[in-house]
Amino acid sequence: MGERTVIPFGPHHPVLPEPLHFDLVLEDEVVVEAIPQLGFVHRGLEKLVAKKDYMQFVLVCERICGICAFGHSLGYSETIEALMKIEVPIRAQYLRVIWHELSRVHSHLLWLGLLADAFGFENLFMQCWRLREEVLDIFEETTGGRVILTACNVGGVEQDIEDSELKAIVQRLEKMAVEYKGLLKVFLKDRSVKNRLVGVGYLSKEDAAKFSTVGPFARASGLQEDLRMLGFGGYGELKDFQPVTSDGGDGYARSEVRALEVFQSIDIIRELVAKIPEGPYTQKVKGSPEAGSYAVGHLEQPRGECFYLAKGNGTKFLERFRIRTPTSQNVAGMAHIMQGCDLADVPINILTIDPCISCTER
Amino acid sequence: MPHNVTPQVFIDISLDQLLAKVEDYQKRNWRFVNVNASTVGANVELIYSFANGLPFENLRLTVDTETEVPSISDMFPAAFLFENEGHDLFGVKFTGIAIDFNGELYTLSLPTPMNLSSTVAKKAAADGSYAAASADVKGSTEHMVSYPDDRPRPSRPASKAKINRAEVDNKADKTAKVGEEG
Repeated sequence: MGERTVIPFGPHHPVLPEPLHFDLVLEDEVVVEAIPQLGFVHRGLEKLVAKKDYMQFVLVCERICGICAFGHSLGYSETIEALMKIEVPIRAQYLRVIWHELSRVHSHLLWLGLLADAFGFENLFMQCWRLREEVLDIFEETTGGRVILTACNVGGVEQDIEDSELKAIVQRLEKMAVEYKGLLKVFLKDRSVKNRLVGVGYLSKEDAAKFSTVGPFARASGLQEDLRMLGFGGYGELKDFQPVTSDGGDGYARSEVRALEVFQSIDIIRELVAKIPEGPYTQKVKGSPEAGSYAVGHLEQPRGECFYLAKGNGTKFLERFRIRTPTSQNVAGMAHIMQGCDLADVPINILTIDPCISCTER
Repeated sequence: MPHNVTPQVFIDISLDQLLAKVEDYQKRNWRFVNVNASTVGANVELIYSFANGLPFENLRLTVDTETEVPSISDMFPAAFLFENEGHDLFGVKFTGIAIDFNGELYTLSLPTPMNLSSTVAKKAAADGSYAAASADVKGSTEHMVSYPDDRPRPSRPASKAKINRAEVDNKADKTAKVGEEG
């Protein structure tokens, strides 16, 4: 064995869209230990509950991250609704799920593009992002925003989508799915892609459970972890839901799970659009959260389970609001899969857990 | 599919019950979800959350910032980040964290900014090094002016691999010099 060397990886690295640092302890070219370092983009958004009241804070929540924007506003709203015991109109619940699943499609396409970029497949990267534009266009037409949607609010949603428009969205997604199938052939069948991903960053089912991993990272190791199964909010309206899982546990399995989840999200949207009921889409919210009231909420974001905790104090301002994002939960597992990997595989290992550092540090 | 809502279960426990309770969750194969800190007067309230499919439980306890709280990161490694956060932002004294950043997870201009009544924050206010540590943080920029220039640079957490960092740096310098000469 050679001597041990420490190689600093990040916070600026071509493969990292956001700042994250690892101290890689190497023996020859094999990583013996990876020590994570975070905290480069900490903004202290949780502290802002002292300045923004509970209705305004949904806007702050949405700005935590550009990719999970809708997910955060949805998670926040659901938690405050649990805190104040507000019933949300049924049509609003449908619309929330539709937007959230569209966010998942756009997030997974963005990630697949980044992955293609990481292993040097420039063309595939551009094709993925071209398809993602389609979803952003849908966002723009339905809400006016492409990234920050401001569509969800405590008590319901900000605006309705007409039934004819909903049907048109499904048609557009179906057309997109045909093109996406072609791309998928490259991702899942191409020899050069497989060479880069198969067997890289293996995480066993036991370790996935031990490190409390969430989202596609856990599902690719064979864990049946998907909160959509539990039927929270609008997801309870689905006829059936089975999470996409894989037993591979490696980088290839993680890309496979995310790639196939795009179809699943389109299926969910199609099913809900077919049976969305008429009715109000928002409800007036009065009063403030009671003093000493607590509420927890969690939902399945594109990257996995996101957890929210709210504490009321009798005023319009919350006493404490906590957001625990999927990536912060997956950091321990990410450091684990780096042990024993080659230095050249480190970028793929980091990327296949789909890290969102802005979310992690808030 | 059934309609469900997240169960709101909060169990009040004392600090000496904590490890036994957490071990119980681990034995029953529950999933670790979160460690949350929030201020209650001069104390800090910790909420540990665990889930197992739909069932969801929260352990709630209150500690002061003098008391040492044992880390649960040997049972649930994912907790290390939240415990470091609780230490940096609220001044909770966690002991035995798997990856301990020793208060340098975040670079902060105020010690424990989310809990100004923590021991560390009070001490900083008393010794005058952070003149505005106890001042109103809402809109005040005074604390930025009084920020000391000779603050220590954040260092990385100690590696378990016991690397002699000075030696590594020394070697790197030598290698660089050889490269320059060549």
